[in-house]
Amino acid sequence: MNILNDITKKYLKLNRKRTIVSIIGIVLSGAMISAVTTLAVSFQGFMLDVEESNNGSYESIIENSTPEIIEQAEEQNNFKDIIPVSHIGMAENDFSDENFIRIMGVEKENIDKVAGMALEGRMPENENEIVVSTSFFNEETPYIGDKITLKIGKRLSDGYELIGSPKEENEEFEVEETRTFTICGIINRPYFETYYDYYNAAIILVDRSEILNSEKIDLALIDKNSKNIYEDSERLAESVNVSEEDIQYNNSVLMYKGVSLNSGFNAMLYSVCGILIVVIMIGSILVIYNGFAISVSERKKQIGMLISIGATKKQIKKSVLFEGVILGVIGIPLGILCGVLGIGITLKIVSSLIAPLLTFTRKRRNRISYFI
Amino acid sequence: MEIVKVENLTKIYGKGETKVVALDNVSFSINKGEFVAIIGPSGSGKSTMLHLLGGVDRPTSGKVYINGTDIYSLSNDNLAIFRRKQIGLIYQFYNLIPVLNIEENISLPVLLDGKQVDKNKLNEIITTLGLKERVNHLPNQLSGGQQQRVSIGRSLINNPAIMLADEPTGNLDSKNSREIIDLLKYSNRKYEQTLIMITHDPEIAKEADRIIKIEDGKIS
Ligand SMILES: Nc1ncnc2c1ncn2[C@@H]1O[C@H](COP(=O)(O)OP(=O)(O)OP(=O)(O)O)[C@@H](O)[C@H]1O
Ligand SMILES: [Mg+2]
Repeated sequence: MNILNDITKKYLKLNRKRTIVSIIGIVLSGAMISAVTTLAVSFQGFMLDVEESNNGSYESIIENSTPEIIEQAEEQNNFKDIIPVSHIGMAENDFSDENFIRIMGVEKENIDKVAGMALEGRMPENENEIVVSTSFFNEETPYIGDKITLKIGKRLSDGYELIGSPKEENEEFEVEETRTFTICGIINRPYFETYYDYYNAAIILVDRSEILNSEKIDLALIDKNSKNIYEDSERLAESVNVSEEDIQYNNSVLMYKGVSLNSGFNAMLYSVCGILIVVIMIGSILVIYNGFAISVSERKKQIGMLISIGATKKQIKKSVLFEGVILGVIGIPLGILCGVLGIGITLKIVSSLIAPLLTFTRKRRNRISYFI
Repeated sequence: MEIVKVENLTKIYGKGETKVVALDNVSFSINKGEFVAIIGPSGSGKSTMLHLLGGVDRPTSGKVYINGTDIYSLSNDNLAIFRRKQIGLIYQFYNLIPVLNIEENISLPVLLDGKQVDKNKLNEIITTLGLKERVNHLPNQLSGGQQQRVSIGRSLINNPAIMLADEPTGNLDSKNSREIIDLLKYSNRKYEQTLIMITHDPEIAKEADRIIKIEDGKIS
């Protein structure tokens, strides 16, 4: 055992009270810093959760492709989730003069990844149920629980297929099948419905074989490493000759994942955290120094003694560092533990208080699951 | 033979209005085995001088040669190593490490070198100093005279060529003072150590081979 470390330890034991005060200071500061960090992380997670239940958890979607893109995506091996969405067809809309209904099909386990959660009602559970975009509904339209019969087929004009464009004089509708669904829920406008599309979006459940047989599919993707989603999506689109313009990114989700290019939210979150941590550190240094100050002047005397006996600067530095390490090794893990536990308990209490509120305003209980 | 040679040594503390010239262009030399007493009024620069001889502080200008080595041409770390091998320092207030027992305090300079203590040497010192019964005590369990003996023991453990003592008896009664001075003179003679001692006591100064008198930072 190094004699100087031995001396340091003995001093720490001798001045037990002061040692404990210093450790408490470190514990407090560690606790506050980890609490701020935990809070920020769970806030970020909460916002991500909200976004994912609004829009789905996909990171990008390549539209207007064919089933062969699925194989390509699997081959490229960059993606955690590969979610095909098949274009089932258009349907005439009996409740609107200008809009059609566009129906897309997803596998049951994937529907929340492309459409999030139902605003009202719930997502479909079998192939006879349908969820429809909020834009569809008005006083005359059927509502949750009602049945709706749709003539599904193609809009054709001079042999061309129309999808999102306005109704044309000479267009014809070619009915392929007629199906009746029960409306089970209302969803936000999903990714395939934009403000200038002349249709309302609807989603039904399909199985894999139907998807593989469909002419047109979109492919939603979640990258293994979210940071690469842009280049990986572009590479995939290129490999199946789909234009870059057909790639849509789930910008708000990417933003809360800290990936999006214009991530103002994260910049703000990080700088607020940074400032808080700096303030805490300055505060705790002042507190620790107060307990330390006496020991500093005492230490100076000891250091003077040691120097007069022939200790080198290096040896002195090492022994001071050793003292810090001892205090830190005890204080920091304890602090982090206290911080995480403390904020965990706080969040649990807070979330149990706001849970009923959230459930009342939007029927999405598990939104706050992040906090519990 | 010259063991200590001081050339134009100057030490200035502070700057501007608070500037203090503690040592003013001092030159002298000391032979091996000599016992030199340094005397002078309070604030005249005695301790400053002793610290500069021991390599504890650095001078503003001038040189100190020990055994022909210009000690202030050494790096800080080498100076520290030089100090613990060549110099034994004794202070008025003992400067013992309160958490180490007597044996550990005496062994400290060797332990700082990362070396094993020579048990025979340690026992010899402890016996000579009359501390045999006290080896496992902490410094605050000893009397002032005993503590000063421990600090002498510590300065002897490395067999230093030079012993520097800053008022070693300043805090002791006359009986204890006598013992300490005798011990220092004993090791001065026995090991042919050079002994440089600051004292306010004219009786003690008289026992020295030579007296250096300092006034206002100058030798007079
Ligand atoms: N670290 C320092 N900073 C500033 N001035 C100092 C410092 N150390 C000593 N001095 C000044 O240098 C001068 C000489 O001090 P020094 O300690 O050498 O005196 P001294 O002769 O040992 O006195 P005493 O007999 O009282 O111990 C004094 O005026 C003192 O105030
Ligand atoms: Mg002095």
